[in-house]
Formats: sequence, structure tokens, C-alpha cells
Amino acid sequence: MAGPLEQFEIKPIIAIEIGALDLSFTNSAAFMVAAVGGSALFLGLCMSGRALVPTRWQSLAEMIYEVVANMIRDNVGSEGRAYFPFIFTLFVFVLFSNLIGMVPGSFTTTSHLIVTFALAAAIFVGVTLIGIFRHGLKFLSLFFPHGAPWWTAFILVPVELVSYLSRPVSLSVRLFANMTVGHVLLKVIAGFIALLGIFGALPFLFLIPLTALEIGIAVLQAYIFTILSCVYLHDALHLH
Amino acid sequence: MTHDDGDRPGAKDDGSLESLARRLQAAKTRRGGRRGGAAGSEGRSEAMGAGMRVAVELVAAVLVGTGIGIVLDKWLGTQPWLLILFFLIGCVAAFLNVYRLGQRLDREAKERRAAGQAKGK
Repeated sequence: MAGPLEQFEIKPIIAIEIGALDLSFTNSAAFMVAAVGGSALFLGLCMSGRALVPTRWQSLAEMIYEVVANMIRDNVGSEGRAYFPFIFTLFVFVLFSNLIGMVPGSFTTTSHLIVTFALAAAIFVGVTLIGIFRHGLKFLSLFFPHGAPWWTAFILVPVELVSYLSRPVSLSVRLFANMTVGHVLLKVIAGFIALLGIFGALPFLFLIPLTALEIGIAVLQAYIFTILSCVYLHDALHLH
Repeated sequence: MTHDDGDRPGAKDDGSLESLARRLQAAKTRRGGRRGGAAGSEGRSEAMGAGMRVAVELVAAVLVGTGIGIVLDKWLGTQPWLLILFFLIGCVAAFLNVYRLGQRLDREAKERRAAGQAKGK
């Protein structure tokens, strides 16, 4: 029987090695492509009708659009509209990665810290650059609370700096931890079913609501990941 | 859930707009009440999410601070002083982050409560 951690194993599908670099096309990469392809296909098919009175599928796609649009309006403000395409792509990508991971036997790309950290780091660097280009040197006032006495800068600036730098870490660890813990839990409980024989019905009954909860978490974490990106964008645009 | 006869069609229904408005209002109040009842389980999962956020926030800043300390120590050769200093700064930053998160969650809860009350009225 497969161990609970085997599902996170990275296996190369097409081995590519350039010099010392291992650039293999792995199962992780394959499922990222699946997330991108799946979301493109889903949104493309849903919107193919483009009716004024939407069909069920079209209203599903429009619902996702509205969720993201509301998120940006509430958390960033009207200046955030320019960043809608990026935030929308981010939300749909994370959502599809999480949900495709819920298909039995598939691989969850977001259960690897390096994947979520790469996403969070890209957002962090991007948002910081937006802040610097918008405000120039005034951006540095983000690290010093307005109105504090100048001599407190020796304590406050390092603290604020570390607090700011911890953002991509907390953003990525949250998504990664939630996805990993959920999948390990599902696997462990599913393992009990095989071990307990006839009494396996009990963990099986428990597994059904747990799977539903896991799907809920997959959607919720995609939402939280995106909403926090919006909050960071707001800080860069408005400097508190 | 309370049923007063005012919102039943047929009872005291004189077909005027006024009675329609009254019935609508009663129906809205009932829906608001139902939503308030559902907030129990919703609030629990939200509270769990908030707890998770606090935990991650608490760890992340300490990790980042310690990491900066180790890198600077290696670079400047001042083991272990900068590690100690940045570990402490990381702890302070973690508490600052948690404090800010608490303020944020508080504000959101207050806004939601205000919105709920406005809907209920």
C-alpha cells in the first residue's frame, strides 16, 4: 500500500538535463500545465455562448469573474482595476491547481512549498516594484510609522522590514500547509479502510464529509491567497 | 423562527401596497434571522481559518528574522551576535504581524455585524 507521503513524490516524465541543471518535465510540471489548460478550456467553453441571459456554465464563469472583481474593489480600490487580469489569473490558477489535486490519483502542485513560494515571491517582488515605481523613495515610509519619534527608527525600521519580508513566507506556507495536511489526512484515513477490513466502513463514512471539507478548503485557500495579494497590492499603492 | 400572521398571504391581506411592503419586511426579517442562525457553523470555520493565519504569521516572521541573522553572520563573520539580534527582531515582528491581523479581523467582523444589522432592519 502506498504511504501517505508518496503522493507528493516528484517523478520526471521527460528527462531533460542541460549541463548540471535538471530541467526535467515532471509530474508537477504536467499538472501545472493541466491547471493552465483546464482553466483556459473551462473559461473558453463557458463563455463560448456569450448570451445576454447566461446559461448555467456561463453564469459559473461570470461568478468567478465577479468574485475577483469584488475582491479587488473592496481591498485595493479603483486603482486596482488595472491589475485585474493578473489577480484573476492568479486566482484561477491556484483554484484549478487545488481542485485538480482533489481528483483521486492526481498530483497537487500547490502541496509543494517551492511552487507556492515561487508564486508568492513573484507577487512580493512585483508588488514591491509597483510601490517603488509609484512612490519613489517615499515607498520607504512604509517601514516607519507616521508620527513616531525619530529615535525609535533604530527599533522600528528593522522590525517593520522583517515584518514586510515575512509576507511571502506566510503567504506561501499557508497555502502549502493547508494542501499538504489535507492530503496526508485523507490518505491516512483511507489507509485505515484497507487495514480494518469489515470495520473499514467507519473511516469510510468519515472520509466522505472530510473530502467535502477538503474541497471547501481548496477553494477557500485559493480565495485567501488571492485576497492577501490584493491587500499587499493595496499597501504598495496607498502606503497605509 | 417566528411566524406572525401578518406575513401570511390571506391573513389581513387587503391587496394594498402597504400590506405587501409589510409582508416583504417580515419575510426579510425572517431571512435575516435564518442567516444569523447559519452563522454558527460558518463562524466556526472562519475562526479556524483565523487561528491558522495567526499561527503561520507567528512562525513566518521568526523564520525570516533568523534567516537574515544567519546570512548576515556568515557574511560579516560575527557569529552568533546578529543571529541573536535578528531572532529577537523576528519575534517582535511576529507579534506586530499578529497584532495587525487581529485588528484587521476585528474590523472585518465589526463591518459584517453592521452589514447584518442593516440588512435585518
